[in-house]
Amino acid sequence: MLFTSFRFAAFFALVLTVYYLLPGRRQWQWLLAANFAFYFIGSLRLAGWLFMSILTVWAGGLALAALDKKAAEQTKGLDRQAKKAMRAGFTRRKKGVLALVLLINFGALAVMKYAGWVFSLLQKLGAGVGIWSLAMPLGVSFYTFQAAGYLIDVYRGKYPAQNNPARFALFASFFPQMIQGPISRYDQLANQLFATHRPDPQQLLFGFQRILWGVFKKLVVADRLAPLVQNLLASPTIDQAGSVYLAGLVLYAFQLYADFSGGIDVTIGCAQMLGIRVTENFHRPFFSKSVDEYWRRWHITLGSWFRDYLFYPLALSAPMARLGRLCKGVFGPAYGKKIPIYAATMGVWAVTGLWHGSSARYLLWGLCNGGVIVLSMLLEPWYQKARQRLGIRSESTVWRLFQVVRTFGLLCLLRVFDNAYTTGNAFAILGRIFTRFEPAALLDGTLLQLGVTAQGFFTAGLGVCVMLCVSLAQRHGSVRGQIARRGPALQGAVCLLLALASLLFGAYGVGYNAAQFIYFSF
Amino acid sequence: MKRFLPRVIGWCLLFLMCAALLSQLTLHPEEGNSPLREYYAVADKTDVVFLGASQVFCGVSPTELYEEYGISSFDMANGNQYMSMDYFLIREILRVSSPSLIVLDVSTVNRAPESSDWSHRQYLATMKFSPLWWEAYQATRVEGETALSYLFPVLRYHDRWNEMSWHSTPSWQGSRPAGQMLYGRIVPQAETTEYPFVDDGQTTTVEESHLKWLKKIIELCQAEEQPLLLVKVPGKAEGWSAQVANTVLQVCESYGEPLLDLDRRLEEVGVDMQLHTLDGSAHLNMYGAQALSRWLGGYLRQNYEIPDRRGQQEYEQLWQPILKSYHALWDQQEAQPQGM
Repeated sequence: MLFTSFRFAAFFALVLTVYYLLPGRRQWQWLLAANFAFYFIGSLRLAGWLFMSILTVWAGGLALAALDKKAAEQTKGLDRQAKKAMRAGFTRRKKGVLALVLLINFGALAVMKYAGWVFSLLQKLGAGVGIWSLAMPLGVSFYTFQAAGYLIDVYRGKYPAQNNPARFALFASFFPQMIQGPISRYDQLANQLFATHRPDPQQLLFGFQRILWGVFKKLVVADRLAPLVQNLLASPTIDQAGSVYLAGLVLYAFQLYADFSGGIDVTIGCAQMLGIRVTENFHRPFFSKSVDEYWRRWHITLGSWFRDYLFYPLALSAPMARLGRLCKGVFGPAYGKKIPIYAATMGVWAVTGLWHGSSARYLLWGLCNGGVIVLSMLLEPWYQKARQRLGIRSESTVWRLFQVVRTFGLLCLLRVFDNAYTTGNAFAILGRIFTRFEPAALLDGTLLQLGVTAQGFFTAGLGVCVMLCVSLAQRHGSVRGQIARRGPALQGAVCLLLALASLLFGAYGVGYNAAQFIYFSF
Repeated sequence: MKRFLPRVIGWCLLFLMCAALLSQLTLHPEEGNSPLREYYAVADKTDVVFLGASQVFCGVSPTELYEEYGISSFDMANGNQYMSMDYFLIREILRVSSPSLIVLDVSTVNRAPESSDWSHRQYLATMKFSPLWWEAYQATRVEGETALSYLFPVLRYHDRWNEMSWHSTPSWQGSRPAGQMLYGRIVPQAETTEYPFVDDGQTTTVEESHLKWLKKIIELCQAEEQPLLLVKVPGKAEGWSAQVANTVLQVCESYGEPLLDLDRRLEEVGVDMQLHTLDGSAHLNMYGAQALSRWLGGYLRQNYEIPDRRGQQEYEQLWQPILKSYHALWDQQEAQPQGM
């Protein structure tokens, strides 16, 4: 069920109406029913995977809680030494439970996501195997990560396990964030899901505005630019000038942002209308001054998930400690501390790349991003020295603007691995950009032959300008808050304008492919 | 909440008004130009309805049928009108009228049953809303289409701003006498064109999903005791061959219905593909339509009980303007021949 479809609008209107008509104690049960209905409509045949994930993680949480309880009971009255030994035993058993449940869930995810790729690789290498792959259930990456985050937190004792499987199922399958996140944390979301909510006009209006804003971004910008990105960057043939490819990469950056953040806007808006606050996933990423900062402002919840559940455990692991000691001896104490961090960064980025897709180009994309971040950390002292020598003030507007443009350009180039038809094509595109730029191709009408008309460019361009203006206005706080302060008439007018602009300038209906959100496929 | 709800309702109403206004602004001028709209006005005075695609509106002249035999008929035909839509049109025709005969051209039987977006759109835009409308919509809807777009056409035509042409096209009322389109252009059949088809007595496989609609039409007419004539109008229609003809013939015979395959009776009908085609044998021109209709009128008079309406005041009132328009268009096409 596409977020931008009438089907979803009708579904959500029904869910919302019944939700507020029900007594508070029934609201969460209704939400759970809505989750399952949403999932069954979208992915009935593969619903078993969701239930498997819910059941194993819920049971895993209970098992961890039971082990904690048992440990507390059995260590009562023991001396310190015995307590420590007993606890170590229980920790081992807890680790076993955690590893088993994570293995089941991430194993299933890996099989679904990578089996096809692995088999095709084996085939290419000459192994006599056929191509075999599994269909991906709706939102599998997102609910697996969300559920896994809960289990790790329970293991760490951050909060108690949820006893009620239905309540846990509600957290794991909350329908607005099922398709493309954000990846919520149990302690932030669960209590809100189970609480009683009464209709609040302000929240309803804010949520609705957010939904309309997301729909605008998706239909007017993302889906309008989609044919060009598909025909140019994802094409099997490389036959355009470098300048055209660079323009395509810039447009892809806007398309991807409008698509993903638009979907997240709809998610957050729907949740807000239900009285639930979902974590923000974007913080004006195009205004980032470094690649590292960019990734802290783009898909924030995935980044923080990797930081909390992969980067820290990896950076603080015993092998990394050994690596640190080794490097300390070879490169000195400063690098002894830094190299494990760099290695963990590269490891996390390799996983991030593979999370995005089962292909060597995704792995390469992840490693390139990690490489740029590590390199910028390594070169930072030299940057500072160079700035001082050139007399550039780091807080000057020109320098900050340069940093923003540099970061944006760099990320555009890196994104070639994320969208090209093959890894070879990605390199060929980069080759064209650096060896056959031919700027005249930008003005000879080539861009108009790639599935977007001049009027389409104009509309999408206007949409991008509106997006950037809103991003700039967000520096002074919530834009919806700023509009609300100017009175209800402006709030209504903004809603009306967004709805009419989407209606008239959106790319939808007959002649357009109803484009699923890009991150849906991750 | 007490002040919030009326405000929400107010803004929603304003949005609907704007959507309706945008619908009017973006509405394609051809949206409502389907033969069905014209048919509603003449349904009670129509004895024979011809259904089919472009072969029918080019090749069958209701005006000639009226002039020569007093048969009051109508061409319910559009470009790429496939059998799925024919089925629903017959149901709609039977809902609003009781014609003496329905004549269905089977030229489109071997084409994908999915109707062309444009043809079915025009019909659905003019068909009266009913459970049948919904059924027809469900059966013929194309990818990306929503039922709501018939209420708010802006959902279908929202990107007409992209065309940057807002001029309106005149309605076909007056330019299609009783549904016929007159083309005076003569493009003789090339020597290399294989037509008429050589019958080798073989059949071919026509997909069941394609044949389904033909069978449904026959079953419907038999259930309703509605006389039905299945005909293949002369012309080298896309997807048609002697083998397809034999297959369709078998289907028709299995239902006890005859198939009047006029591709095999060109001489008898008097159609000459050196003079009577506007595009080298795919469609008849107005001269071919005249020849075919004069022959067909005789056939219908001989085989079916169809009244002669000439001289009846209410029919004369209907037909005299049509005859006038037909002859004016004929003269115009003779002077400046045009094709499709």
